[in-house]
Amino acid sequence: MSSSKILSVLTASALAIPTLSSAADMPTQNSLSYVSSFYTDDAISGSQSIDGKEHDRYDIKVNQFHVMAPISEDETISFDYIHDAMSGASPWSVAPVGTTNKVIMSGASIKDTRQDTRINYTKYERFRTSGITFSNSRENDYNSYSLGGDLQLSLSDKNTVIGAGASISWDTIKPTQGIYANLLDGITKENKNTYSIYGSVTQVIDKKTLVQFGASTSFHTGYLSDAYKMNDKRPDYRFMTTTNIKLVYFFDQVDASAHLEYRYYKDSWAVRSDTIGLTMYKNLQGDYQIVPSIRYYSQDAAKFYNTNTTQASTAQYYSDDYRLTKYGAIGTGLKVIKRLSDITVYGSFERYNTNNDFALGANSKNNPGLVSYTRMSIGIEYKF
Amino acid sequence: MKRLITLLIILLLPACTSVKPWEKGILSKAEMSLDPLPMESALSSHIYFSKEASSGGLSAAGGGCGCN
Repeated sequence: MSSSKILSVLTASALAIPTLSSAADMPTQNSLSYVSSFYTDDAISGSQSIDGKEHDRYDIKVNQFHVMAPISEDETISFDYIHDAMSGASPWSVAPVGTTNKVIMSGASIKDTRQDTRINYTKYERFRTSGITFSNSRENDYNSYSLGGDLQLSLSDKNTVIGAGASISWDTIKPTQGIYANLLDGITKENKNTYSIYGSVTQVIDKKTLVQFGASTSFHTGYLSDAYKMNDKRPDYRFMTTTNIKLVYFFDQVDASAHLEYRYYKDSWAVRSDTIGLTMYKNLQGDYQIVPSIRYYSQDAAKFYNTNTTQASTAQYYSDDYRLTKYGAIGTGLKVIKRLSDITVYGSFERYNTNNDFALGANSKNNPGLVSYTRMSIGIEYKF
Repeated sequence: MKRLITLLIILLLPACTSVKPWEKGILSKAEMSLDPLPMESALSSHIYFSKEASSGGLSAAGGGCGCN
C-alpha cells in the first residue's frame, strides 16, 4: 500500500470513529425506533394470601417509540412516547397469621394506562454537548411534569468526558376512589416535587477499556406515602444519593465486550442498597450478537417499615409496603441482536426473582408480597 | 463501599494512556458504547424503579410515576 493510500485510510478511520461517549457526537442520520414489551408479575399463591386463594398480580404491556432527527449541522431534536397498559391486582397490606405474615390483596382487578411523552433538544459543539428535556407522564390518577438539562465536556483528545445535569419534576396524585375510598382517609389531591442533580466522569483507559464514575443526589418533598396501602404513612421528604462505577472492556480473544457496573444507594429513610450487574456482548457470525446478563440487588429496610399494625398505630411513620422491606433480587437476562448497516433488531428475555433471604447479611424481615416477574421485548431501530 | 470506589478511581486513572482518534477502532464498536440499547435500558430502569426502594444513577431523575 502506498504511503498516500495509508494516509487516506488512517484519515478516513479517524473521521469515522466516534469518541467514547454516545452523547458527545452529532448523529448524522435520522433514527426511528420501536420496542414492544410484555411483563407479568408472579401470582400470590394461596399459602401467601390471607384468604388462602391464589391472586394474579399485574400484567403490563409497554409500547415505546423514539424519533430523532438532526435539524441543523449541530442540533438534534428527539421525541419519545411510551404507552403502558396494566391490569391486575396489588397488595393492600400484610397481616400476621400465627408466626407468618400473609398478604391482603386488592379485591377487584385494576386497569390503568400510562402515557409518557418526552421531547429533547441537543446542541453539539466541538468540545461540548448540551441538552434540555421536557417530559410529561400521565395516568388516570397521576400526572407528572419534568424539566431537565445536561452538559458534557470533552477533554484530552476526547479521552475524558465530564458530564453534569439537573432536573425538577412536579407531580400530582388524585387517588381513584371506588374500592379504595376506605383507604384514602379523605385524600383527594396531593403534590410531590423532586429536585435532582448528577455528575460523571468517563475516561478512556486504553484502546479497549472505558470507565465511568458518577454520583447523583435527589430530594423529594410532598406526599410520599402510597395512597393505596392500608398501613402507610411516610415522611414528607426524602434525600437520596447514589454512587456509580461502570467498566467496559473488550476481550479480543473471544470477540466480546463486558459491561460491569456497581451502584451504591443511600437515603434519609435508612434504605441502603447495593446493585451489581454484568452484561456480555458476544459477537457471532452473520452480524448477530448474543447478550447474557446478570444483576444482583440487595436493600435494607426503611426505618419505619413495620408489619406489626399494633406498633405502627402509635408510630409517627409506618409502612408495610413490600418495597420497603429488607430483601434481595437476582435478575437474569438474554438478548439476541442482529445489526445491519441501517437496521438493528433484537429480542430480549428477563427473569427477576426476589426473596427476603437474598439480601446481604442476616434478615429477620419477612414480606410475602415481594414481587418476581418475567419480561419479554422485541425492538427495532432504523437509521435513514 | 465508597472507599472501594475511591480506591478504584485512584488505581484506574493513573493507568490511562493517551489514545489517539485513529486508535479507537474497538472503542467505536456498538457494544463498547456505555448504553448500547438505550430504550431497553430505559424500560429496565423504569421497572426496577417501580419494584425497588432505590432509584437514580447516571442521569437526572426526570418525571415521576404513580407506580412508586
